[in-house]
Amino acid sequence: MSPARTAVAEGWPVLLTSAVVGITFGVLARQSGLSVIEASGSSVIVFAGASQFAAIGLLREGAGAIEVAASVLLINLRHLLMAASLRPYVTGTSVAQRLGLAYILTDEAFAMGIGHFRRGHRDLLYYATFGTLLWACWNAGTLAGAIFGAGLERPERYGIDFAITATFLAIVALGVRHREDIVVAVIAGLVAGALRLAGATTLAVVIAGAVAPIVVLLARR
Amino acid sequence: MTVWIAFALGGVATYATRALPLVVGVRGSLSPSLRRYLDALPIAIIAALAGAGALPGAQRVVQALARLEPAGEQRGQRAPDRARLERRPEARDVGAVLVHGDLARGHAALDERRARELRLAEDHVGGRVLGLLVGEPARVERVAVAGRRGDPEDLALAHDRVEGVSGVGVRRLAHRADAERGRGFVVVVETIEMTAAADVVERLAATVDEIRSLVAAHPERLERLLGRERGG
Repeated sequence: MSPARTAVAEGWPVLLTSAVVGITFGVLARQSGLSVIEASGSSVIVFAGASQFAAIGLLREGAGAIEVAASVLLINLRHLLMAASLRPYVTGTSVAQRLGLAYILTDEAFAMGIGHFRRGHRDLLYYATFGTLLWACWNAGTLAGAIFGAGLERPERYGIDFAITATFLAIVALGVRHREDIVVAVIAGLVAGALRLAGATTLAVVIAGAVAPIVVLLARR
Repeated sequence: MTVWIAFALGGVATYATRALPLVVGVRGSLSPSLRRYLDALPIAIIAALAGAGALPGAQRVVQALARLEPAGEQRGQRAPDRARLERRPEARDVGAVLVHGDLARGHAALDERRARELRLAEDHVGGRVLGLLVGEPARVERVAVAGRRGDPEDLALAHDRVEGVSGVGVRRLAHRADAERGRGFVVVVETIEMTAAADVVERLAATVDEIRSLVAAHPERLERLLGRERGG
């Protein structure tokens, strides 16, 4: 089986999930005041699920562009590690190809790609195919969700106005891998909530999240 | 425009984290502590955003429960709230109007803001839209239908549904009938108590006047819309 077909055969559950989450993002983006074009633009330009959810949450709160971009950067700093891990496998490619491969680097694409490479394969078609399909699924889902989301009147009847917070909680729950992650998440959530109640801006809240892991790391020493 | 700038900056930031190690390479290796920090960072920030959304929500529930008045207190008299508002020297009253979304279209001053700000600030009341206080860094403290300010409980103004929309709180009227009990249907005057800098208040007042003029100039359009609404 060709690497491209293998990518589809092995990755379709992830692709399907991505489309569903994309629909969720589209609906929430629409209910947060974004237009269909803005919602889709976010998925095309940023193409990073968790940070996109964070961005619409912040925009809904009235955050400025710098605050949103800073938050997106913080959330996506982990891609530095992923890209550095992939570098040995892209040494034979041109700069243009690497730039293209970088665009489709997401958590899911990294996980699938690095798994493929660690099984002894060296071809990049598997990673490129999966990453491109993931991009297509995410963007198609976003577009569908944004169009559907526009038809929802009085979203509070369906609890959609709380859905962004619920989505954040779900992302955290799914992202926990160690006990330490739970401690970090609880500290970050409580501190941010307390800061918000005290009237802090969204940026202060996000900074609280950036500081929480430091506290936990220092406590381990 | 803010949205697109935010996405552009966010896109550049995201792409840089992905592309730099692939294209330029990273010399040396990261310390284990830094790796662990970067590993924990996304969960921490998302958890912070969740906490920032969840705890104030929980507080509103507690406040709503606290408004179940103690015995002996007169219905609708929320002395602590009133005292808190009165302590704010910058609190001012600004009139606003209830307008139908369709009516607002085609008005140059509103169209300018409509692309994003009005859409964010609009709030459905029945089939109509409370289009007020668009995109200004002010905070709405209290909304009341004119002539009924003394009985906010009866108005069912959902004080626990204050929303931060572009820095502006917009409260929802819980019952459509509350809006219809206003002074006619052409201009349903609301009273907005909000806190903001004086220049912001002036601008908001001007915006409200624009909306009010618009509605007053085209009562037949609103009447037709409302008639269709009632008929439908």
